[in-house]
Amino acid sequence: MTMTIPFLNFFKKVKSQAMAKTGPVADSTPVAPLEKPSSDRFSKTVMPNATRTLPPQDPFEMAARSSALGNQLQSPGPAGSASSAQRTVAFGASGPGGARSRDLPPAVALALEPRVERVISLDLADILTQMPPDDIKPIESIDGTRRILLKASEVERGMASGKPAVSLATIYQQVPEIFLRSIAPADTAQVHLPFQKVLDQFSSLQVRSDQERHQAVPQVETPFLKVTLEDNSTFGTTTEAVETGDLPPVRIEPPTAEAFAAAEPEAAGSGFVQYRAGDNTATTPTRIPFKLSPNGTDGPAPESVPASSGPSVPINSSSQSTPTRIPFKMTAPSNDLRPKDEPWLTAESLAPAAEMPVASAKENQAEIRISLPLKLILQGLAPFQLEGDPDTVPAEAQVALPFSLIEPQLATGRIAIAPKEFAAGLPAEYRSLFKEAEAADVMLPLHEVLKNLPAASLRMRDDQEQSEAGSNFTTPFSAKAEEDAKRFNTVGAVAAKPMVTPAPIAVAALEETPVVPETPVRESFDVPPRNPLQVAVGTDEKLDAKGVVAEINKLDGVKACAFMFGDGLSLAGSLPAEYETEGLCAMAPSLMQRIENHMVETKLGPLRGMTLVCTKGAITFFMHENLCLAAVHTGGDLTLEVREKLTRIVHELSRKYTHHPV
Amino acid sequence: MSIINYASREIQFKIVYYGPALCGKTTNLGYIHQRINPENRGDLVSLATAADRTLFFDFLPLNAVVIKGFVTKFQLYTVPGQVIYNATRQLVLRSVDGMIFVADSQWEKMEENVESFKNLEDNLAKQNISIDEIPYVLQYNKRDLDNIAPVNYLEYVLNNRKRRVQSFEVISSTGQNVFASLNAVSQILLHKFSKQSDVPKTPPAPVAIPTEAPVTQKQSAAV
Repeated sequence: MTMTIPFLNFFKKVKSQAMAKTGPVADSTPVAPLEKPSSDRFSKTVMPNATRTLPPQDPFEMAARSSALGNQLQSPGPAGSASSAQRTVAFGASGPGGARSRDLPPAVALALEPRVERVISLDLADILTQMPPDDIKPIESIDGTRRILLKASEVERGMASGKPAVSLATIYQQVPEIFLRSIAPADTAQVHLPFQKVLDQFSSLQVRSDQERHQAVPQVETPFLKVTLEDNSTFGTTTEAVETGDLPPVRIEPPTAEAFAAAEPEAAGSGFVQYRAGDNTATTPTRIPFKLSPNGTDGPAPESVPASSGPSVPINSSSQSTPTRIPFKMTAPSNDLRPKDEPWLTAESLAPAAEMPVASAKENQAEIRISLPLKLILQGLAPFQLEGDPDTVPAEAQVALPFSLIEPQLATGRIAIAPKEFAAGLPAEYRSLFKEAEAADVMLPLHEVLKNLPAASLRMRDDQEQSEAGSNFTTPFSAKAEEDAKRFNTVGAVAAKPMVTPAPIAVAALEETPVVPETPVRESFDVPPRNPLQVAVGTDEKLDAKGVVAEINKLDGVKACAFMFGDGLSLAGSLPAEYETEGLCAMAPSLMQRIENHMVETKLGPLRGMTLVCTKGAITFFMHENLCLAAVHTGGDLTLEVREKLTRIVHELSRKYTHHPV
Repeated sequence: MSIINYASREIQFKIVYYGPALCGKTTNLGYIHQRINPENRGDLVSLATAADRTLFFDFLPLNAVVIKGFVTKFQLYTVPGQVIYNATRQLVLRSVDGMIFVADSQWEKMEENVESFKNLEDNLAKQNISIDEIPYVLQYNKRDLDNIAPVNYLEYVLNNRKRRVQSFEVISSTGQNVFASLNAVSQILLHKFSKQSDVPKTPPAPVAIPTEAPVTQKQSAAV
């Protein structure tokens, strides 16, 4: 079987170029070290590690080869070279390898760096007794002094528990002749290894003998050094001399916005928890739950995640396929967009909202079309999407597309149209140029879309509130602005609020003003209309996730509750620690999604909740969209009324935390 | 890269604590925050999940000494160690000046240590930086536990490059050698900076910004 390595030719080419730069390795003519920087000359005196320029070799293959030749394998060096770990002090570059890596871009140098397999070796006699006697020849007939190589990564796992082991197949791979039968590579039988001997092997491994170590430098007195010395006296440790050498100088940037942006990761603003200066009691920061997708970019996590250190929470696979889109709506939400399965949203509860002006925005949007230059779009398409030459299309040819398809994507900065939609908008004479059958979306140039936005599409939302025009304070800036406005004659152009200087309170004028009896303020102004979440919870208080948790905890039959997202990350609330339900809660959303998929096959209707009745208690999960609620019961089951209420709450709260692709 | 502020005569260095998940990076920062004089430190900022795992990064600003007339400031960052947060790690690594690689000494974490170190090399390479060009030290953390690998082996696994770097046996939960490793990196950075001759003594000349718009002929005639 041949393996295809991407960019292998490229690496070979770069490698050969680099080797050509450093000179032929096998050149036997003496080279006078003239006109070389001192750093290079020093590095030449360091023993070059020729093996590091070779590609890594599979230790097992080597062992098998040596076994076939009948040679006795030697230990890979560590045991014998324990005393040879002399630390070489050097001030220059790091030898031929170092010179090469400095010449090459870091990514290429890293790719060319050989990957050394970590191995240890043991005498065959050390493990013969642990091997299944039925599978091997009589022990007396086997040369016990043979050494076998073991991958350290395989043995390390067992070291933690004091029982290192290796698979039988690994041993078979190296010494097949001692076996009576062949062992399949997939054979899971394990052979235990002597702990102490394995530990000795690990301990005897030494770093490469040609390592360079930098020179010690005097230390500057810093607050860290002060604490270091204090800690040394506390812990009885000593401070090693600081070593540094030929490192590139510190790159310095002036404090421009770009420099700060480049240096600092973009932190999400509101979720910070801070240690207050002077608070010496807390040793670990108080953590708050924070919703962010696993890779920090709000995109799907990579598929290949090693199992050894996988995610702490399950990843919602269902949400990975669709890209997150930022809703971009300019019109007021219409009733048509409101979910229909919300019986608790009665006309009374939403009466104030119903009075909102509801324009037939959707209908209007459907009518609005945007015309874009066809030639530009066709030129931007991939060749497989085209049937002919786009240059034959005249520059004035246009394609008219429904604006409703484009508007929601404007905020994302990337506008794509389904091939079918695009074909429908094409003028008949140019339809033959476009392959409708191709699945790839048609990308529209953003600048063209923005240039050709229909005027009717850009209007303010209907439900915007007009702020009251307040009085402006006179400041040096406002005076300057007034001057500028006069100078540039732009008073009329700026729709500024009237500039007023705060007048001194004229007591006398107030006295003259007839006292107007205070009119009772309408009740509707005192109590703002409830939003659907407040309706579901049954309170007038302003609610956030924590507030909702507090309200739910007051319900009959609910001992405690917690909200978590579909990917298992916690939103608010907590369950009693004695139940240790963190793992269950993290898994519950994915479990419910699975169950919900199967509910489609039944006639039981949509899934409303999932109750787990256990010997020490019961817990019910409710889920809607991307939000899940876990409620621990106080005693028996929850009443129907409470269940309904919790369903509604989850439903309403999920709207706040779920991004719908518009 | 370091950011130099001529106006306030400050230079900022960025030190990143890197390592596999749950190796003790945040514990390092917590201890530093606790031990350092409040006058010399800012607030420790932390973004974490409910399960107390670093989600984005931890951040702790520290003041050091005056060198060449500049107050040196250190910004300590940690990265989230979990494999899936690689994009975040790449962000945090941007413009890094020095690093502390925190390795977990436990046997079962050895593979993760190696993976994390490779990941560090990869992420630096993506920024066109070789790890040999960045000052860093190694921390072998959790030395107080029972199931730990010998230091020799950790050195063999993580410190087997051409350039040998300093390594420290650390117990971050008690603070043993936490400051020693920070001190080592900060001293290297300060040493580099003090040796440097290209730091201008004077700030660049400010750009003159006109305060008044030029009055045109037409406007002056109107006045």
